[in-house]
Amino acid sequence: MKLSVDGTILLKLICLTFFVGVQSNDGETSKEWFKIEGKVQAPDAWARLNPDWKLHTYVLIDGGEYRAFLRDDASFSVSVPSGSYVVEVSNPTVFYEPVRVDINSKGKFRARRINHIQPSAVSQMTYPLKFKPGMPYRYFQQREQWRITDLLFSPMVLMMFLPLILIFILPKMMNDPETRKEMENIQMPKYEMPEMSEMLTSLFGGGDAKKTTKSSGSKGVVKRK
Amino acid sequence: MKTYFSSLFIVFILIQAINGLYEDQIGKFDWRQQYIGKVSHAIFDSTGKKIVVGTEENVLALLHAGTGKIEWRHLLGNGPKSKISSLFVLNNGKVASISSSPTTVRVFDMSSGILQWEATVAKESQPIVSKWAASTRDIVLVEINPSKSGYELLLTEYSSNSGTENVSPTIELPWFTPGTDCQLVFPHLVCLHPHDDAVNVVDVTNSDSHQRIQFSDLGVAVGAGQSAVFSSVSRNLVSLRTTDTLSVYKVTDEGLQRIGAEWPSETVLVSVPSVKDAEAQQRYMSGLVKQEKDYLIRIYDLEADRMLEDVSGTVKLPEEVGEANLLSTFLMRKANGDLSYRYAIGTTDDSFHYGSKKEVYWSREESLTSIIQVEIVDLPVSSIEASIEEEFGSDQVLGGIFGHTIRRLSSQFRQLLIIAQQLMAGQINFVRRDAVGSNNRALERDRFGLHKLILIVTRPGKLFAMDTLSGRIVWQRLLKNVNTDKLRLYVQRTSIHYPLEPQCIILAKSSTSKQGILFVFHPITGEPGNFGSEGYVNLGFNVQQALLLPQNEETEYIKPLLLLDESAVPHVFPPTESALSHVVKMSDNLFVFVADTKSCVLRGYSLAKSTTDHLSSAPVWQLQLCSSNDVVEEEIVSIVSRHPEEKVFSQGRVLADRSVLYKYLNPNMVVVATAGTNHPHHRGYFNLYLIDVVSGAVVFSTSHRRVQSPYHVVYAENWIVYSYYNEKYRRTELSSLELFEGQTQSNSTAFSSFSAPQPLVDRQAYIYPAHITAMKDTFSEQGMTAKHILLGLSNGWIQEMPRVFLDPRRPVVAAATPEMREEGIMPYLPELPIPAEAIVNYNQTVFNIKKIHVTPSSLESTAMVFACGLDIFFTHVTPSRTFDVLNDDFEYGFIALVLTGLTLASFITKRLASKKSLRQAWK
Repeated sequence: MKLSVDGTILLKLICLTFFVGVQSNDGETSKEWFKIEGKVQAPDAWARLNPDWKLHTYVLIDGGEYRAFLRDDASFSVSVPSGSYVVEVSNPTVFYEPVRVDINSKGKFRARRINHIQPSAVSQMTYPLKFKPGMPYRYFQQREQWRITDLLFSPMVLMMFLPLILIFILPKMMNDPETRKEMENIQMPKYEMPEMSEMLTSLFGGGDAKKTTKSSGSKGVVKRK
Repeated sequence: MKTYFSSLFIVFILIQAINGLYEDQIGKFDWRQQYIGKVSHAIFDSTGKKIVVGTEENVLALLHAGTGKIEWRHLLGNGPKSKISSLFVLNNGKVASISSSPTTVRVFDMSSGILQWEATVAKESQPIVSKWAASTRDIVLVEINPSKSGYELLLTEYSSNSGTENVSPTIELPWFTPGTDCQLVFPHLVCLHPHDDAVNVVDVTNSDSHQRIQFSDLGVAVGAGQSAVFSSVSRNLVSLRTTDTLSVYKVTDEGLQRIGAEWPSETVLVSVPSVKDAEAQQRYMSGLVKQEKDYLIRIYDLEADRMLEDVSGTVKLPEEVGEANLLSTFLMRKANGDLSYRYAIGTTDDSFHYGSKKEVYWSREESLTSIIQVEIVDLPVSSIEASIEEEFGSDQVLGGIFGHTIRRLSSQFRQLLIIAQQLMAGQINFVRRDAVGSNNRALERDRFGLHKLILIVTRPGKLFAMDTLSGRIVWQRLLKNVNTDKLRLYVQRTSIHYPLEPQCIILAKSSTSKQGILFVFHPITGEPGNFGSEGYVNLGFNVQQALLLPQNEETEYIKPLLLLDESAVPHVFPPTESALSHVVKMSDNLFVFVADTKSCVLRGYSLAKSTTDHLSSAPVWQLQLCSSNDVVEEEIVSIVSRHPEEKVFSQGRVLADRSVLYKYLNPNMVVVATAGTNHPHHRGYFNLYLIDVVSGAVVFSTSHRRVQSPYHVVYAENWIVYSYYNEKYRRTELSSLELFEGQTQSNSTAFSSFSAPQPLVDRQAYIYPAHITAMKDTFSEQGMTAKHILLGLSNGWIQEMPRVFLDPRRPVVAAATPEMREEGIMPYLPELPIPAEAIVNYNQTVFNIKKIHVTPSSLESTAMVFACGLDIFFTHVTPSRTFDVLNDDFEYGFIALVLTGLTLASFITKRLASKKSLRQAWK
């Protein structure tokens, strides 16, 4: 409880010193410089594959107002006058969460999480800064993978196979004695089958003569019985 | 429950709106070129295979000498405050760079480019003189500061391996006067006051080593009023340049010892080459002597004290480069023992060349880092289409059926010949889309208008034309005798008007007087036009404002350029009768405005009283925007008008109740942004005015307090988006304005500024969690495609943000109604997202994006984007996806397979059926 109260007081103090610092920016060049320090971690596997990752990783302070570079041990430091800064690690492959660093005029440092919506909210982070790698950026959309079901259910294939089913499999089912019995029980309206075959005839021309005869044959069976 | 649904809805919309690339599209239509900026320091490494360069864009880079490619580079900072003041190659294979403000020494490993150490020299007060040098072991800083009894010298040594600081005791300098220019030739400091007739030389490690050497002892006569300037050449040499002489001295404990004869006064530079064998490091010296058109490199042997005439050679720089202003040489011993050299030369057109005695091996066009203006122009029609054009051309001699038939036959014969030729040359490509990098493509228009030419105007006055497919430089040209501070490029005639040739003009100021100069050229070939002398037209007056008329005149199809001179008298270019009569015909509706950014005064002029004999303008209105006094400093930061080629497809927005909210589409409206600081509290503020420049009326204005630059404004259709940095909450914010006429349209046929309705303005602000360096809207040929906003970010990304995210009508979640959802308006969220899928340049970061240029292609869905900064990036964006072309994952093979399968099946079944029916018939 006490800690949080202290925090808010410190924040006010920092705000105050920040604006004082801004005022003196133009008037005189005398500024005291402070060193923001930190270290960047990289995912091990990725760092092994990209040994030059330190070359392509930059530390930007306030969007490039100041820049820092990574040393061999992936640490960095940058000199800035007192104030409040956004420190971000820019790498084209791996995401790092940016941090806000407040430095008061006495050189006291504090790192906190960036909250754009409530800029005064303090959620403290460790200082010297430690940048842990986040998720790698996903710049690209995934192409849909080719699957056999996609092919089977594609309208074109369905268009090809459904008539075939109608042509070949349905009549076969009719020949099956059990189905025949079932068919009898159902008492299908008689005009339906010829209607279907007529339609197919018109669609496929001569090819459906077989179909017509087949169905008439089965009709004959029914009659005979 | 309701909020749950709305959040679900947002997720849905987000998924819909994000429109990313696929991984296999890398490099399909995008390309990037990396640059370093104008080279200001160049040093060969000890092997001569690498060149360490420091540039005016604050880049430290290592170039491969054989190819000119960048091995690594570091941007050390933005703006002139982090300028690289010195650059050293240390003996232990490291590179040291010194940047100013705060003075920082950074030492990088040369082969890997990794930072070894850095030190910041943060001082209470700026020293009067601050000079750096590299000795064998250390990096040395010599500073002269005021002391109690005059001036004192402070020597600081940094160990080159670890950066350990070692400060020596100060040395009093009783002879020092302010204004003295000093050169550090470690361990000596050579100082000369401009009005003095003697040189002071002091050993910075020895307190009583001061010497004063008269000019007469140096063998140089410096008359009154003549200048003499020392500059350091190497670790122990200085050069003294007077008005007409150039001599070189070796600095020793005894003083200055003259070396060799005088160099010709036109010698550009003197530098000591790096030599492969270490013992000969300090033995030679080279100079670049200008000889009429060419340059001569001369090598001087310091030990033998003679000029090596047999090694010297001429340098033939490529055409269209400026004067040489930087030289670095490397000497090596060939197998037969002869010396030969390699040179690296920087020129005033910002290009950088590397070569040997024989030829220039490569050149880097570094002026492309300082692009002023970009226009993307259409290429001429292909030869086949040209023959069709000729067939139906207007100037036909033979008429009637017979004539037509002959023309048709002859043109078809020609087309056949062209196709045969192309087949022979292998130019016809059967692949659907051309891969980037195919350089052999002829410069002609393609079907979808994706092959165009990028015209680029750069700061040193160099023009470039680049192919959009490959990024290849088609031609380049250096403007002569013009002041390159302000250059404007206008496309007067596009290549649509075949057989008339396209024409472009550059408006500039003369380098000798303030008068305007026009340079007329052909955009495809770069050849100067038939105007003035070699395309240069001296206007003979100072240009105040220039305006390219939106419509072309009817005889020559040229868009006349209207120029307003200092007394607001209009002039027309080209000064032909048809252009003049075109202007006079339009003059009733012709208004021009002039803005002075410093004094914030806008003036509107009308050309209504013009006649063909006498063009005249009359002031119509005047507007004073800024309040300037002692406490406030304000100026215009940006003036944005709608793109003249932008088309608005829909006049209004259909609301959920099926009524229409009409857009306020004022073609004469201009957005003027002013920014200022309130001195007593040092608070920045930003004002935005929407001004009708015909009537001078302020349509709308808004103000933001406690904000800072950078400011960016985008204006399209009936909406404006602008960005600023909120000082109070320390975040970048994007504000959005949208203007509507209301439920009724005042005049549906034409817009009149004199009877314009007052618009309803919707506005909303959003938090943007990054730093914006450039902003631009996309637009398409017919305006049907959705609008996206391209944001260049400080980390090198270009984000494509749908405009719907910035819609000012986004309601707060509680107020969101189903009707609004039906309209497609998302509920308000204060912070805008930056999803990685919306980054159009994926991991191809573009450093320091300064400008984004958008041009539509002939495909409605596709716009072309050209972003420039330190790097150049080109890509296509499809804000509403590629709805007018097949996706590139369209399976041609599959559809062909299915079709053939179906045909085969139908044939087989037909055959089977006929067999069966035959059998049936026999039964």
